[in-house]
Amino acid sequence: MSERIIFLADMESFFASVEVADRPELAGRPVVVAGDPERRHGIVLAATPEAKRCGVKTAMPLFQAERLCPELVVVRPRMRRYIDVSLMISDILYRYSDLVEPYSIDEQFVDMTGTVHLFGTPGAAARRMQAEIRTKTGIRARIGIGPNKVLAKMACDVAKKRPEGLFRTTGDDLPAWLHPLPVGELFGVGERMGAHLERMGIRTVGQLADFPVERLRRRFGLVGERLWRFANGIDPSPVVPPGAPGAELPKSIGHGLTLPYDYARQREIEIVLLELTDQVLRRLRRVGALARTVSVGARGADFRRESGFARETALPTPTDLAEDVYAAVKALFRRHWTGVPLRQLFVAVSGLVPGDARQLDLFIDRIKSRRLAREVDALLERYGPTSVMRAVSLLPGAQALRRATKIGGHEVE
Amino acid sequence: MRITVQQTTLITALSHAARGVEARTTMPILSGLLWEVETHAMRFTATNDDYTIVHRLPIDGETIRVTASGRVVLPAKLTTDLVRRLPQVPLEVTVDAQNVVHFSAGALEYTVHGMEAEDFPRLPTLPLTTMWHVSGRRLAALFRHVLFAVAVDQTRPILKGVELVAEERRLVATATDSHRLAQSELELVGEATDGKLVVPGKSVQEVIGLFEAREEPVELALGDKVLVMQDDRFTVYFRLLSGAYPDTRMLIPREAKTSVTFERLRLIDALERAFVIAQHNRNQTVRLTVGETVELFTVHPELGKYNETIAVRARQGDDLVIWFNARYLLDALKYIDAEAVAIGANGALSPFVVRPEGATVPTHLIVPVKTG
Repeated sequence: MSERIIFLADMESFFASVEVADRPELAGRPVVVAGDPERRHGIVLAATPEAKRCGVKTAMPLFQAERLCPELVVVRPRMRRYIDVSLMISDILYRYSDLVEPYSIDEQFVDMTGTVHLFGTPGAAARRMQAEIRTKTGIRARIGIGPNKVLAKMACDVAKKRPEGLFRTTGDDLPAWLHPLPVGELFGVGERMGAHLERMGIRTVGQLADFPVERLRRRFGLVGERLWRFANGIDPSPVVPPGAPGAELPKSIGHGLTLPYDYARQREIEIVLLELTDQVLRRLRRVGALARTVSVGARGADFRRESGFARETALPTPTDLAEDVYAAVKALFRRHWTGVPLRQLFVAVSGLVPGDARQLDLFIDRIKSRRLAREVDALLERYGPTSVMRAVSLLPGAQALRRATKIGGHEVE
Repeated sequence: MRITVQQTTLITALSHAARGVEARTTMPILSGLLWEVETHAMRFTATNDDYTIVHRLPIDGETIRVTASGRVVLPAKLTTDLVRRLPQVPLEVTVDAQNVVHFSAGALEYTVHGMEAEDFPRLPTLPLTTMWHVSGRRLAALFRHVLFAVAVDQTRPILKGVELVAEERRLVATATDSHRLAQSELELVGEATDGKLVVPGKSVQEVIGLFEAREEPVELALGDKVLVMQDDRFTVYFRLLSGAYPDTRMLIPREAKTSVTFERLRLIDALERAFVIAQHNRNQTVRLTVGETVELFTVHPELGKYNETIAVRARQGDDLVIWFNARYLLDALKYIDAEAVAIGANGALSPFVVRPEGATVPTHLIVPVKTG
C-alpha cells in the first residue's frame, strides 16, 4: 500500500460545545458541563474556550472552577444527547469516506486515502469537513492529518494549538515537531510509563525514537516496542469502521427524542416510533449486526411522575430490518401504553450478533428488503437525511423532517 | 348431591377434565372444576381463557351410582390430589347445602369446601354449524403433523394458530412460524361443509390427546368465533383466532431443481449428530451439499466442526449447497410416517420441500438461512 492519508477529527470542548449549540443564549459565555450543579461536587467534564480562559480545566473540581470564574454557567451532562451528536458527526464524516472509526465520543479517525482526490488536497478536504461540522452542529473540529493513525493523532495535538485547527504531517518532518516534544506527550505514554522512561534518560519523543528498540523490548515487552514505533511515526493499524470484520459489536443501539408537545394520538406516536426504529436500524446495519432484542420506552409530560414505561421483547429472529423490528415495537407499545400523553419516546435494540447468517422468511422477502434498506441507507448517507423518507413522515406528528432540519437543537435557516 | 364412584373412574375423569382449568387465575371460581350430577349423566366442566372442556360420564349403575343429583364447583388441583391418594375402592361423595363436599372411603374422610355452581361461567349457547366428522385417531394425526410449526412469539398472533380449510371433501391443516411450514390433510367422509378457521395451536396441543387413539367419530362444529370438537365423552369449545391467515397455497413450489431421497432414520441420525454442534449456533445451522456425494456439515467458530457423507437412495437435478436450521428438519422428519423422505430444493435461498417419498401428505417447507 502506498502512502495512506488518515484524518483524526477532534471536537473542541465537545460536551460544552453541544450545550452551547443547543442553547444559543449560552454562546460567548463561560460554560462547563459538570457532575451535579446542585451539589457542587463533581468535576468539570468539559469547558468552553471562554471558561478555559479563566483557568478552568477539564477534570477540575467544580467548586474550584466556580472560584476561578464567578459567572460560570454550569450545565448538567446529557450523555444521550452527546452520543446522538457524535453519531451525527459520524454521518457527516461518512460522506467523505466509508472508513470512519469513532475513537472516542469526540474523536474519529477517517481514512481518506481513497477519496481525498475528490476534494483536491488533504487540506481542502479537512477544511471542508470542518466547515460542514461547524454549520451542521455548531461545533469546531480540529483535524490532524498523517500517514497513519498515531501520526494523525499526534498531528491533531498540534492542530489544537493552531487558530485554523489544522495540521498535516507527511511523516518526513518528525524531527521538526514530534521529536522535541516531552516523551509524556506521545500517544500511549501514561504518567507511570513517562516516569520509567525519564529514569532511563529518555526525556523527549526524539530520544525514545533513537533508543535501541531491543532494550525497550527487554524492559517493557511489546508495549515498549510499540512506543518506540510510535516515536518513529510507524503505525500500520488500519482504520476499522464499526461492523467491519474484526470490529467489536456494541452492546446496544438506541435512539430517543423529546417531542415538541404532548402526544396523545396512538397513530402519531407510532409514526415517531417507526422513525426512531428506522434510525436505530440504520445504525445497526452500519455496524453489520443483527439484533435479537428490542426495547421501547415512553415518558409522560410530567417527568417527575412515573407516567412512562420501558419494556423489551425478544425478536422472532435476529434481524436488521424495520418490518421485523417495528412489528415488535408496535406490539410492545400497544401492550404497555395506558393512553397517557407522552413527551419522550425511545427505541433500542440489543443482543447484537454478527450479521453473517440470516434466517430467511416465507412472507417477507428478507433479501429484497435488505437490498432496499441498504440502498436507502446509501442515499441518506450521500444526499442527507431528507433525501429519502417514508411517506408517513409527511403526516402530522412525524418528527423526521423536523429533526433533519433542526440540528444542535435549534432551527437552521 | 350424593354419588358412589369407583376411585379409578373418578381419578381418570378428573385428570382429563382438569387440564382445562386455568393454571394462574385471579378468580378462584376459574381454578375450580364444575361437577354436575343428573340421574343419567355426570359432567365435569373446566374453563380457561382459550377453551372449555366438558367431560361426560355415563351413569352405568356400576362404576357410578347416583343417589341424589346436584351441582358444585371444587378446586381442581386439590380434588385431583386427594382423590389420587384415596384407596382404589368405591368412594362416597356427598355435597351439603353449604357446598361442603365429603369424600369418604370406609374409615377415611376428606372434607373440601366447594364453591357455588351458579357462579361458574355458563357455557356458550350459540348456533352451531356442523362442519365435519373425523375419527379421533385421524384428527389427532392431522394436528400432530403440523402443531410443532406454529409460531411461539407474539409478532404475528394469527401464526400461533393452526389453519383448517375444508374444500372439496379435503380438510387441510396448515401451521407456520414463517420460517417453516407444515401442511397435512385428510379426506372427509360423509357430509362435509366447505369452510376455514384458525384454532390456537397451544389449545389444540393441550386437548387433542383426549381424542387421540380412538376410532369414534369426532364432530367439528363452527359457531361465532368458536370451534366445537365433540365425541361421545368430550365436548371442547375452542376460542378461535380472528384475523386473516396468510395465503400459503402459492408458497409450496411445484417443481424442484434438486431432488434427493433419504432413508428417513439415516437422515435423522445424521442431523442429530450435527445438532450436537449446531445447537450452539445462532440459527442452529447445518449445511447440506448435494454434488458427487451428499454431505452434511456444520461448524461452530469456537467448538469445532462436523462433517458426514450420507448415503442416499436417489438424487437428481442440479448440485446444491444450502444452509438451514437443523431443528426444523428434525421436527418435520419426526412426523413423517414413511421409510424414505424426498427433499426438493430450488437453490440456496428458496424454501425446500420435505415429503414422504412418493406422497404429498404431510408436506413440510423449510426456509433456508442465508450466509455471508
